Amino acid sequence: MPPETELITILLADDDEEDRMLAIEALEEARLANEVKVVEDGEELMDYLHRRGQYTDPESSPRPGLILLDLNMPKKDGRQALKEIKEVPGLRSIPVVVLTTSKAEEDILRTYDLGVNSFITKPVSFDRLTDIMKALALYWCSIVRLPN
Amino acid sequence: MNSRGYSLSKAFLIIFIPAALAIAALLMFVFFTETASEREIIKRTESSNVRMLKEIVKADLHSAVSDLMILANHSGLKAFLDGDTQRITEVAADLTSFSRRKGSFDHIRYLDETGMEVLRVNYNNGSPILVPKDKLQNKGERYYFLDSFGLSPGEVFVSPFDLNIERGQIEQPLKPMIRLGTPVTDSTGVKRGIVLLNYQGQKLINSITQAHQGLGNILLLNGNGYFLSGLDPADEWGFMYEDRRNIRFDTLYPAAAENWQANDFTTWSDQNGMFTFNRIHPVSEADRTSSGASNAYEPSQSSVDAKDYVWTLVGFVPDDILSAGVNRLAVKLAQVYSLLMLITATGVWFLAKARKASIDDRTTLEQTASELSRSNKELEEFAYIASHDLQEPLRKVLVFGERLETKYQNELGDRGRDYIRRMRSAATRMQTLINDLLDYSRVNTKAQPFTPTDLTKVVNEVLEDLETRTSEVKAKVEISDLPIIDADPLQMRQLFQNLIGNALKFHKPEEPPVVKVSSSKAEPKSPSERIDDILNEIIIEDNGIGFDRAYSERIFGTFQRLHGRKDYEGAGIGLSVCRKIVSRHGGTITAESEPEKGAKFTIRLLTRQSEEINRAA
Repeated sequence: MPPETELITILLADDDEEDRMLAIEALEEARLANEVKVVEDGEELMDYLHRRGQYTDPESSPRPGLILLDLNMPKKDGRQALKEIKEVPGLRSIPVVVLTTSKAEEDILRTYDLGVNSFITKPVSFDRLTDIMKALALYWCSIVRLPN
Repeated sequence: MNSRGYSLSKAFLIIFIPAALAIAALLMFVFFTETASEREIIKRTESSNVRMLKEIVKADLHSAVSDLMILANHSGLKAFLDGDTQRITEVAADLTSFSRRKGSFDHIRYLDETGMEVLRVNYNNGSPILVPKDKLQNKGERYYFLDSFGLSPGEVFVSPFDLNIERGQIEQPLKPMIRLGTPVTDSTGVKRGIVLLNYQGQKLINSITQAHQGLGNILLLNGNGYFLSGLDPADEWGFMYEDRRNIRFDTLYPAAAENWQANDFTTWSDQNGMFTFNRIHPVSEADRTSSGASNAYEPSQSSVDAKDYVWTLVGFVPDDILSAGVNRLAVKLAQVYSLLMLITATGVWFLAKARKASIDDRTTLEQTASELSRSNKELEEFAYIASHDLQEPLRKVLVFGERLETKYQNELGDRGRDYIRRMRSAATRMQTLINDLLDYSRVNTKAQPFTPTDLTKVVNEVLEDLETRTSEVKAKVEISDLPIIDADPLQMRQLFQNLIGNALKFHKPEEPPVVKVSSSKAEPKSPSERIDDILNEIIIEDNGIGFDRAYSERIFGTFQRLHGRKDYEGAGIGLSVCRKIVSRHGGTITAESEPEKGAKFTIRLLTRQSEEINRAA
């Protein structure tokens, strides 16, 4: 990795424990050393981003450089959370990659035009997932220098 | 039943009330026209009746006048006046037999120039007697002698129609009387007295009342409006009694009288009834009359011209008789109305029942149809959501299977790896199934509106997608001119993808597939296929393995497969999706084949889609 690259924190928002596990395993498999923080629903996500509740400490809850967002979450779903993120000037610049389970969902979300940076259709194959994580890391975490 | 918003009583009333009103209006019309025409008939009957009676009156009086003239010119009487005194016996005998035969004259008299009765025959109720000489009287002072004797020979005096007076008193029983007199001359033409007939007025009145054929009564009025014949004897002969001077037609029926006085012949109706007036001039032009005298020995008050000697016949139909007819009609019509109402009510009841039944049927049908369509939609949505959520655990099975296989392959051993492989293969199959099911349910849930779609373009896009497989099997696909039709473009793409995909899949192992996609205009097969539009017949033919004709319908069912999974992949849902798509477009899809002879799929689609189908989509 080029020296000017800083390792960013990846914030994973997904209520599905297995999907979280797979995502983290895939990141490990891709040999990415980025710190991964996890939230389990839309409310927690917004709390994290706004440094509220259990997320007030900047040391343990650093600002993420990338959000991996699942759409179907309890309390506040991904669509709503996304909308709110894009409405706050300080958060708008954080790239959001949406994890979907189908092409159809992707189509629906596109119609909201919420400034999603990328989509990942949750793959059936773990190898595929690892490849995607690698590509993501390459694109968002290494080559592009993200604003702090 | 009422919850349907259409009760039987409502259905009944909706038809019954207008029907009842219509029948009532019709019967009212009948009533009024019938009443009017009955009135008209009565009016005509009355008119012709009084006309006839008028002729009778005139004929009677005319006959009396003729009798008078015959007697005045009696040859015996002439001879007697010329001096042949013997002839008096012959004249007396003739007058007596004349009296008996005629029966109309109370007295027949010859009076000499002084007014002395020379011959007098009293009718005496059918046994005429010649009054003896010593009983004869002088009537020289009476108006009827003076008036008659004053006339020229050939002229006739007609007295007013009044009651006979004997010795200054009105004779009882009443004796209505008309006196007719005319001068008698000897052979030299000198007036020698008069012949005087006391005509029995009762006979005249009787002949009128007997001949009367009208509905009500017949009245006879004199020129002053007094009743000569009235409804009530107490009304009659008012001019003869001091205390009855005011009992006249014009005092009893003033409105009718006013109308009558202006006309010779007229009909008048008021609350009293219907009056039919006919004025009579009973005395002919040449005759003379006088107004008579109310006291026995007074001269006549004035001489009256024949044209002023007037009676009036009045046919009078009292209102109760008139309205009796109307009432009878009303009662009859009321009966008819009741009967018609009964019949109508019965008929309408059955009609209403039938109508309600049909409305209920229609309502039920509509409800069933909408319930069906709703439940169908719910089912499709359910299928969509369910297959979507089914994907989730399946994905996990596949992914963790993969993790197991790669991370722990050494620990698993050959058998373990085989199990995992089979598990993953089954999960993959299930995923295909679910995806296909999703496709199937999407035909309706994810339907797009119909737009003009170029099928040539669609098929070319499909071929681009199938590029890899086409080249793998060295397939040849020939496309001839395909039409532009109103369709859902994505569904058309899926349709051709499935059909061409099948053609590529089921090829003979030793022979590269040849697929032909062509189109032509077709004739409609059934009336349900509209003929005002172009019907396109699109044919997809291949040279593949084909199938037995027996399966040509079954292949369109869901999860129908003709081959083992080992030989050909697939869930057996592709063709059912095809059929569903074509159905949604209002078309048909059929298949023909024989084993090893290739398959031929025929799609019939209209060029234009109606707005209705489009909306329903």
